[in-house]
Amino acid sequence: MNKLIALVASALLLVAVGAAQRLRPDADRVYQPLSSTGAIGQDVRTTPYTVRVERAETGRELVLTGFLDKKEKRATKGVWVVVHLTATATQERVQLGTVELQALNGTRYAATDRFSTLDSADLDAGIPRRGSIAFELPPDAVKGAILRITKARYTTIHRLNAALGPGVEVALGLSGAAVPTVTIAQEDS
Amino acid sequence: MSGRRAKRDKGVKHLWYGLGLAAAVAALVAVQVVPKLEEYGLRSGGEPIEAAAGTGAAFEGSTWRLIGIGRTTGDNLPPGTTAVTAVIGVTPRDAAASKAMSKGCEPSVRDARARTWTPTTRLKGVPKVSTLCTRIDEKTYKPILAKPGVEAKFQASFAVPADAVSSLRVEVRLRDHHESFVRLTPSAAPSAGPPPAG
Repeated sequence: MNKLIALVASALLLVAVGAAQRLRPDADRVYQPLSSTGAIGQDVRTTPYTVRVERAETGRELVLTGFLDKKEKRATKGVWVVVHLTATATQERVQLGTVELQALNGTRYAATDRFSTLDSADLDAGIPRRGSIAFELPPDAVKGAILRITKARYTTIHRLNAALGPGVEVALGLSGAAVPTVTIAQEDS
Repeated sequence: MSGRRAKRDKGVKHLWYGLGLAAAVAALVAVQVVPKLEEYGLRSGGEPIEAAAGTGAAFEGSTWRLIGIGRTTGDNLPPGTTAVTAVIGVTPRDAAASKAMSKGCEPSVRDARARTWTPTTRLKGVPKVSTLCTRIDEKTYKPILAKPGVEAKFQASFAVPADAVSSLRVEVRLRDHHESFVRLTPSAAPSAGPPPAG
């Protein structure tokens, strides 16, 4: 009788172990940031900063304004998406970190590094900073794209940057239609 | 009698099995988590060594004091912010303390809501006071070690929200030293004008 109970208990345990293995989330899900979501015009709060997306626009060409109102045109093989936002650090100096646009099919596009934008600017506690971030996307990836900001980057010597951490997600509500030109101001960081 | 003993022995045996199983599970979890522990970690900035308001504090072999903190001016200040400059004095006790400062200091200010700000170079500050706790030789770019027993003065300027000014305290951290830092509290709220040079 005892042997039968032991056998049944062992079988149940084996089934439980198998089920636990199947239910275990994959590495992408385990390490994805805990995101706060919001809409355009809303303050989205996370531990390191608060972000409010003012508007987003799509253009076939980009005009970059720099020092002394100098203007430069930047072409792309796709389209430009420019997101205008305000970001404020909560407790201490920090940078936004990794800024991406995620298309409906899951593909992520990094912010452009062809010029400096708000993603590499220092944010200070309680001091709102307005700016813009630009992306180059294939035209068919624009509709329904979501702005994702993760991995806040600390720049002070006593802080260790964590690979994990909170994130921000904002649906940009873009239709995919592009205007001829969008304008962005270069950050002096 | 022997039946009772056998039962007890069996119980002890099961207890050992249980403890072994618990240790094995703990080891398994540790093997999975420990290598990734740093991914979750943010250095908190260490433990503060606090000086009473208006006094100095010993930190890493030196005596640190806040000579003054006051409002200053600057260009292109963000809207709603005030410029503040702190002048700090540091007296190394010996050569080892001078060397501890040679890699540089990171001053910051903290308000009553625990918000912190690091220095900005856009502000004017106090004339003829260094912005470095250890000066650098302009020819060799090597640090000029502070003389033991002699106070070295340096300043740091900050742009802070106007509502933070009245509760500011000054903190100084040393490079490569993450365990602690010194926190200096002014004897009064920051002055309306620049602080004294010392």
